[in-house]
Amino acid sequence: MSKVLNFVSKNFLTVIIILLALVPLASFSDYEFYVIARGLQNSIIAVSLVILLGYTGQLSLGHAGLLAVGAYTYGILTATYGVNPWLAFIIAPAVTALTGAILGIPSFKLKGPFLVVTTIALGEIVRKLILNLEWLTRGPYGLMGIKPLFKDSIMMYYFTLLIVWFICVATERLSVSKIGLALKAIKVDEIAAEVLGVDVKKYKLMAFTISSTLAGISGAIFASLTGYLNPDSFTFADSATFLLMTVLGGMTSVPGAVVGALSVTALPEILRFLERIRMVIYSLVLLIIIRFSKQLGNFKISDIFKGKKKEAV
Amino acid sequence: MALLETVGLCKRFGGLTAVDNLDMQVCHDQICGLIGPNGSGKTTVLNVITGIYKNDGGKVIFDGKDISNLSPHEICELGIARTFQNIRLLGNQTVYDNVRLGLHIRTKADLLNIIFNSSKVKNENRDIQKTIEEALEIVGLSNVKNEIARNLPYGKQKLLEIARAIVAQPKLLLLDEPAAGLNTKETNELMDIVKNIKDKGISILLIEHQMDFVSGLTDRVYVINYGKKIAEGTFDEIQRDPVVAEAYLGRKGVK
Amino acid sequence: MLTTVVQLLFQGVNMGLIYALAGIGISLIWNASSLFNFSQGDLLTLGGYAMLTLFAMMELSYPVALIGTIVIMGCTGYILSKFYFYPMFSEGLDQQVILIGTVSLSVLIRNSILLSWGADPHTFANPFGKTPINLFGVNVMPHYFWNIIIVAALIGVLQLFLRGTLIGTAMRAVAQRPYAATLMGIKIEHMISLTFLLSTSLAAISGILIAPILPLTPEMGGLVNTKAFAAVLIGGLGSFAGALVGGIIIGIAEVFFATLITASYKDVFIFLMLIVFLMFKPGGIFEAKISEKV
Repeated sequence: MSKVLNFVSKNFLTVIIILLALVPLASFSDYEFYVIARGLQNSIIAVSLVILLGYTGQLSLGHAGLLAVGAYTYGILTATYGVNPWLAFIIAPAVTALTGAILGIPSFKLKGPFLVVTTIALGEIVRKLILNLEWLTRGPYGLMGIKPLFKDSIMMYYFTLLIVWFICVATERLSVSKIGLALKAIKVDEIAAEVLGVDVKKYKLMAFTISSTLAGISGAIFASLTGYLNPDSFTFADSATFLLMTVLGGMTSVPGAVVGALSVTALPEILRFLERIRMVIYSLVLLIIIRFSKQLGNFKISDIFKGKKKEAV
Repeated sequence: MALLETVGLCKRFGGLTAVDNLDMQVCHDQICGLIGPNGSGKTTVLNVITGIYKNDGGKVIFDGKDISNLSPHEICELGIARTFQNIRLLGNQTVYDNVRLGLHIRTKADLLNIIFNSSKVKNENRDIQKTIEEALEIVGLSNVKNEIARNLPYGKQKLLEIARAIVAQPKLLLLDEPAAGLNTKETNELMDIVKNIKDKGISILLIEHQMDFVSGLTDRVYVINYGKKIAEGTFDEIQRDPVVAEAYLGRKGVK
Repeated sequence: MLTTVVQLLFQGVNMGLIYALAGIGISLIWNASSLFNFSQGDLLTLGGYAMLTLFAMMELSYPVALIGTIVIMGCTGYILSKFYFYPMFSEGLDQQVILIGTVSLSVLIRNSILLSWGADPHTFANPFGKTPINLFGVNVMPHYFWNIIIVAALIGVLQLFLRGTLIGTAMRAVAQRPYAATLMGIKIEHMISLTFLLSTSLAAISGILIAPILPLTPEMGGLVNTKAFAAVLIGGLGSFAGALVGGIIIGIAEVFFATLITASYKDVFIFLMLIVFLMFKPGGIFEAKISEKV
């Protein structure tokens, strides 16, 4: 038994992916299946925040705005201009990356609350623009007729899972690489990092760009899954929810972010009868996790399966 | 030609002149000491040299190049490394990874290599491992390679900072009070380590308060007070200089 | 034409003062604990709803409801500090993480309000009446005038308290030099909790003052938040004068932009103003920069 647990802890990510791959074979209803797919799509954003916040220490409360850019770019291209969905799927993250890079520039000079407020501001600007540029986005009436990447929901699911898997493996490789180490140095001590040869501006920009690209991918998949977009899906509360997913998973853990995203997405469905107090529960959970985050420390969900000491992040 | 030269270097903070018209040279294969009472501006000099502060006058020339306007990471790339007076390590990372950060400028793997785990990355990691282990060997930390940095005792953390600084083979190493807080045994071990580093071809500029340490290691010493150079020479020469005694002990204290 | 300008100015200054009060609340906590309170606007809203309950629903008299609201909100601040935030400070938790804590608090308050009072807007009668008074030859609603007087008096009293009383001085001591303050026998935890109490009490008063101008909705916290943040960042985080100046700038800019150009993009305009400003003067107008010792 302990051999199994040991294997699970060492290969936590792989185990999760395998479990997720088996989902379509189980007898979930169409709606439950959709929820899990959405959870997968959300995990891409959660991982993007692992890179930006967990590794680099830059707190963004505007990621709903980036998700919106990705989603609406994909949506407008396929619905209004009849662009091939696959082409749109490539363009959407590129546009989002550009938007995110712009977000990176204030981070050169601004730290802490100054930066966070700037990200909130940018997220709100995006939402207001979407709301008011009705000729482009149909504003509050919503954008309809978005062409999906795959008509078959199972194919779409496996495609999303493949993307998630690729992103997770790439991010874990990033974490142990020189780039990952540079980002973590920036989080702890920018001046020391700079003196040690890290071009802090370049790497901050890189972190924002990578994070935004992932948000753009997540957005395109979101649009493809739902077929319909509405500015109400991209509010400040959503940005806070994405943060919850990442923090729930341990802020620096990639598989943790995936599990966090799946849990947070599925929770309202499991607690259907608690719909009215869903957000109250979310925020209470987050408040408690924050309060005890030192005790949780570098606790990764995979640690449950170990009997050993915690390792470094 | 000196390896490092400051010419008329000035640094002001508002009304306070921290570094005042400082001329100093560090030559190749030399250990230079920079001493002076507390608050005399020693660390500020290091901060200006490494580009953390912008100088308000004069210039810094390294290996024939004017580096006065370069950013810290550019200066690091040219071959200057340093340790900090109050240790600045990545507390949550391992000893190994802390040293690995020092190799940042020498590693070449880019984002795509990393994502696809190319053979370039794998080969480079092997070389990195060798280099890091050598650096840990020099400072005597090989046996704690995988320990978390903040769990190390103070003296070992200081050695870790040194390992991090030398791993990329800088031309010049700036040490800011490396012996502070060390006991006699640790200080003697540190002296051997610093001599070892010099023998490997790295020139050193050393800030220290412990005079035995300075006398045992340095080829040349600069003494500053209130940001101004008040004496220079070998340790014996400046030790006998009444101006230096006055700076440390006050006028009445000079016999 | 002049009539319109004067009325707009009164509106702008009024809203600006509310933002400024919220900004002062944020600066108080920032000075004491280096924490940026993202829930200040929601605490303000909560104050408004508390007043609504005591005054309009439980039909207590205005002064009693007023004092009751301030006491409730003050206690809320004290409890938040003593049992939630201060323990995190003393554990040495990462700044960003505690920031996320205030964000979650904001979301919690907003959704609790939604749950308890519903999404429909609420108002309650304001004590200044509905008869316009004549100022500078222009008809202005009385609360616009009285709000300015009250806020000015409030800020004056606050300054007197912080500089003139022993407790106020102790609070400032903790904000500037916590370690030295402990050596003087001042209990940091107590002072920080008092600062929170002060901040939430200010929030309560702001919430009560804003009610005649804006209807109370759960989302109001978010609207106030963003403008208050902009006010305090433009004016200089930690500076009361800065919060005041920043608040008035934002208040007037918002009103004039909405009326003369377009209302739907007024938030975008404020935000862009903030971002551009921060790019050129990151510390704000009255910046109080403490440089890091290397």
